[in-house]
Amino acid sequence: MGKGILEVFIQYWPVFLQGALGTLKFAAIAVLGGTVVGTLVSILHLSKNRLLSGFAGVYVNVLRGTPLLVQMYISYFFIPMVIPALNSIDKIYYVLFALTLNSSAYVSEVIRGGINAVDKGQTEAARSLGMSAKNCMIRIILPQAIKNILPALANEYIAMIKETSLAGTFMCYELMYTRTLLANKYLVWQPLFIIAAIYLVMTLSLSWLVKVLEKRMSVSD
Amino acid sequence: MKNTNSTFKSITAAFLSLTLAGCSSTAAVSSSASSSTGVNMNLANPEKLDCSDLVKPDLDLSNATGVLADVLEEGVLTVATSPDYPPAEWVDDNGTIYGHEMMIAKYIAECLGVQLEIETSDFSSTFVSVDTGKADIALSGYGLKKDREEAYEISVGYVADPESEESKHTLIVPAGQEGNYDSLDDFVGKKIMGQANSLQEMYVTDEILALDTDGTTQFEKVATLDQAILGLASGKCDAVALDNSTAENYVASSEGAFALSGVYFDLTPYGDYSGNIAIAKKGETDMIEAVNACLKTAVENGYVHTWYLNAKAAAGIQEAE
Repeated sequence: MGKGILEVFIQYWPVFLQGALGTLKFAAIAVLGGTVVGTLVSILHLSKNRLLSGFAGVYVNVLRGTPLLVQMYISYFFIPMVIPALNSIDKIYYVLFALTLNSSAYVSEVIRGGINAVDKGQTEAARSLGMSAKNCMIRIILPQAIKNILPALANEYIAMIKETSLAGTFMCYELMYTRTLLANKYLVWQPLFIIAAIYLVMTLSLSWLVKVLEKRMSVSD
Repeated sequence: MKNTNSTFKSITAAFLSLTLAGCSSTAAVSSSASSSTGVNMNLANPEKLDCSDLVKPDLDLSNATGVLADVLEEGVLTVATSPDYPPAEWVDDNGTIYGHEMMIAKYIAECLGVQLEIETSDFSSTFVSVDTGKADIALSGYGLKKDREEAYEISVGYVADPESEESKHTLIVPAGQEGNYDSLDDFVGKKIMGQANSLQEMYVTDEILALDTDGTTQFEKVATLDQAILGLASGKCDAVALDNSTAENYVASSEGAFALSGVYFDLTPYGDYSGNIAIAKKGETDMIEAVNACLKTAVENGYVHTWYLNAKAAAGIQEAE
């Protein structure tokens, strides 16, 4: 069956390196963007306004209830159909757009959970001292919530690393795309094992980092 | 793969020189004023897509309508392709999307006096790109199929290498089993894999599944051909349907694991169209007429054949023994 796995890796390691960097970059952008959008969505979700919380609920349900690949296809083909001016934009932005929105749905639920987990007495105390609802959220609730949600956010990043593999479908340079590059050289099976190993190394080392992070955060408890 | 070792060794350096721009796949290929001598393009030349010195057809573009008018106005021709099919189109060691069909695309762009932009996606999505207007035309190793003719404007057929058996389509099997197959009948009752929406899918359906009276033959469609090859290697299927030159390359690089069955599909029922075609959205007749004029000139002057030979050498594909 042709060359061995190690042989292929030694010969083409820069290809895999670039793919791995692409994957990490896509995941980072998606989770960062997802955190910003997701925070807004979670605040809408917790809002007393039925319309706003209803919208946020639908947003989360639609994005969590449909496959990411379908979202990518719709983003990639449908957005430029509706707004032709966007046709000149590199495809990577459509893929990142879908990744970010998808991530924001999950992150918003994480944040909502984190905010809800802060003891109600904190809000009551802050409000009884005369703080506005906005001030109370920003100065009292969110700082405590963030501590709870950081590990969950890091897990979302780890999950996103695997999700970005779908970007390879659109020939964006990430780890899964290296398979297409090397299949053109008639190397069809070796890259799969190399790719799996690299994903594993990335996710395991990140889980380890999350564990260290959790330990350090618990010091102040 | 003996001849290609030096190419492979240089890939390390080549890929390091790639930017870390993430998705480097929308390659805008700028036209170049540098001159290359005739059609014998230097493969080491990064401007290998240059074809400014070639003979161009006389195109009357004054009354252009549809996407052709848009192309001329914007100065960019966008071509959809699935870069997983060397030597027609693939991502070469410099990260450039290259191949003889990409040369055709560049040539058409230069004939129209516009820039070329390549829109890459998986094979099935190349059709969607043309439909949704993301791309003006598509070149992705298409052969003529009835449903394609109905759904798209199709160009004249062009044969990359008139001397080879390029346009033949065959099946490959695990080594040692090629003796079991003398005709297409022998594939009845077997499990066959092939690329979804490909020509081979049509051939298998028309010429093997049609012979099957008790429904024992299975045809499994895969998104990319390498999945089918992996299926054959892992024993998931008995045969893979593919074009002859790709078959020869896979057999050569399998180091004895695969063999050519020696059985070919009968292409006579499919009419005059031989070789490959380009497609445009249905109704875009001006666009496809311009493409036809360019293709005719390129074939008549032997450019397509030269591009094909250059691309084949660049892909490290050896002539089959």
